[in-house]
Amino acid sequence: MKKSFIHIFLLTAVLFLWGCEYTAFEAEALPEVSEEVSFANDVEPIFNDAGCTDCHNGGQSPDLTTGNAYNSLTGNAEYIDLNSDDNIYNVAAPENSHYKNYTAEQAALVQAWLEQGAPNN
Amino acid sequence: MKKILLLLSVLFLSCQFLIAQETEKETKPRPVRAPFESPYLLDNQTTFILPEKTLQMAIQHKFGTMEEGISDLYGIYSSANIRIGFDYVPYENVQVGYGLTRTNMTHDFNAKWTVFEQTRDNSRPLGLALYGNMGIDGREKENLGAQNAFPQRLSYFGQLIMSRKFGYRVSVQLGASFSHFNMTDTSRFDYDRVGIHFNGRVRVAPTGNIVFNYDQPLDFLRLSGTEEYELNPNITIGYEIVTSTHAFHLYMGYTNHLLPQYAMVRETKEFELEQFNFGFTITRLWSF
Repeated sequence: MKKSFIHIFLLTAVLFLWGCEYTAFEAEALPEVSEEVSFANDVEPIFNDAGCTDCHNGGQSPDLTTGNAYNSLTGNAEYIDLNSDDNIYNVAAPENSHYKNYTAEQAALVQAWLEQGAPNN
Repeated sequence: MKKILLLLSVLFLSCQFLIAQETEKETKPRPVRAPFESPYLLDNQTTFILPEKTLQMAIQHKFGTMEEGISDLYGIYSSANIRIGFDYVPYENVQVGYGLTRTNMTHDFNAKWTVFEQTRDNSRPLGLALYGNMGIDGREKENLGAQNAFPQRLSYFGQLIMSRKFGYRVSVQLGASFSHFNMTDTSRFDYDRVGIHFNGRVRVAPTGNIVFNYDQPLDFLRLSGTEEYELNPNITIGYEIVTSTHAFHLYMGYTNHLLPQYAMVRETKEFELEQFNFGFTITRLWSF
């Protein structure tokens, strides 16, 4: 019985490894956002919907909870530097344990809001 | 070609096992008693497998990094990574398991086989085990990017582990591993990683051990886009408390990841003490 199990084990290992492939990650094309983006109505809800506030809820910076997110993001130039002319957004992307938990539509809204000067609207 | 070599290697291992079985029938030296107290040793597996028909539940928890200091109590009130897993031993020295980890809601199916154990008469001075898992990224389709078919969700980890128990107090392990992700952001992460592992325990009380692990990713098989990231060792040190049905690990370590392929391939943070985090593992056993 054990011998046959070992053979099944090895066969399974081969089949698993047979599924190995090499595919480069391609980000989805961001849809164009032409209208004015509202932080309160468009951006802030994303932090809840994408699960950001599961952790960024006061304990871990930045605090992305409703009512606190704007001050937390713009109060520290590490995140958004409103005094910079060219690049106000300084953190590249979520990494490691929370590697991309948002959709392309959500990313497009946040990017458009940043490009519009990150207003508190 | 690579796949043919892989198949041949597995057949060779299989033959070795059958030969070993024949030899064992003639003389069966007794294995050393519990080289480790648990199948888990911090971020690694051990060559030890629980008795046949034993079910183990493991709750693994890693807190956030210590970088925010006292404001989030050195990461204890920061974001945490969690894995809950179940392992079962259907046959002597064979373990199969399943777990779900918060990182990308990854489901992992794993198996471990202790090929042979260290013996008391030292006729086999080492124990040898093979461990492997397959991870399945469980996030929603729209979060995976443009290529989001099932094969792109898969990642793998395979490890060969050798252990040696030095008397009552000290047991150590050496291992070599290979990690692979089917899909990766090639500007930031590699597909593959070879790693070496050194870990062990020192018994300091009848039910207490100091445990440690050192996992070193090796600097080859790298993609050109990832060379700016340093490959830092995952160093973890902790204390293990063991009872007949539980093992409890309390530790501090470098990586926040709980699945070994993520720790070896996708850990890119700075190697500073403030990037370390606290964590614990609790296991509970049931025998049938």
